[in-house]
Amino acid sequence: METMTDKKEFPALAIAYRFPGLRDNEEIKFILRRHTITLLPLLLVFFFFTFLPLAFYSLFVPYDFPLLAQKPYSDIYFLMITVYYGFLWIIAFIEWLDYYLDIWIVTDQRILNIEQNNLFHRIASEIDLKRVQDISSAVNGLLQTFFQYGDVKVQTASEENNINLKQIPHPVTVRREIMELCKAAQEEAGWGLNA
Amino acid sequence: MNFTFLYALIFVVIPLAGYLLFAFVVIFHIRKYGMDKLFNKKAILVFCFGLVTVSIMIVQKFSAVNWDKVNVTRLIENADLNFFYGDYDR
Repeated sequence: METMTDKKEFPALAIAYRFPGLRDNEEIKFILRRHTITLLPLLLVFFFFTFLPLAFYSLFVPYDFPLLAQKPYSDIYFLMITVYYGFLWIIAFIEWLDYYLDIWIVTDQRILNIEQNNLFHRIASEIDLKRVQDISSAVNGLLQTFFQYGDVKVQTASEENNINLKQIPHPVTVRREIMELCKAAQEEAGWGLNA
Repeated sequence: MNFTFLYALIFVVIPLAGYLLFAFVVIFHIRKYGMDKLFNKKAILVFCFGLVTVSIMIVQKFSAVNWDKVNVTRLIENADLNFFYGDYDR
């Protein structure tokens, strides 16, 4: 069966990744992350805070803090900005880490949901493909339509054990692929997909 | 009174110690939970490169300041405090 790992938009993901909990007879079909465009608001905030101290220096310092424009105080100001940039770099990296460690792994047996809520809050859950009852995809808004990303909701009979693949690229294709995998898994188990 | 040691503590030692602490935590997370080994290495390199560059700049800038001429009291007195209180007639 052709999987998304063979396609151009998901280039050989399964080969490049290691997955410690993989079962012996299990094959990774695809690995999903939020679309990179979802990092755009973060990037804008990052740029704002990058230029904030420089803008403050050129707009307010000559009028409100005249001494700060003279040496050695101007040197101290730029030293403080450098310290600030170091922390900004770390915060930006932590935010990126939050994006990078949010991951959904679809194998031929299950869907794994790993979410990094903050640096020390990590949630991992999984759904057996045989137990999937309904899969729906949603592309909501101009940005999602333009950049082809959206949400895919995978539901089981249990209300609590549902997985929401948020802001992933090509949600319709992903839904179709997961549907195919579910059918195959349920046929193997002698069940049928209720979708 | 010479406050250079105090300034070094505030502007160099504490920030660099903070960077080091955060760097350990971030690298630990990438190494433990990041799934792509090759990408993990690149990410750690980029992160460390940024932090090392900033650290070198901090040390350089700290050395460039003539700390004997720094008078914090004068700096505070010279500041237009209306900036903080909102001087709308300015």
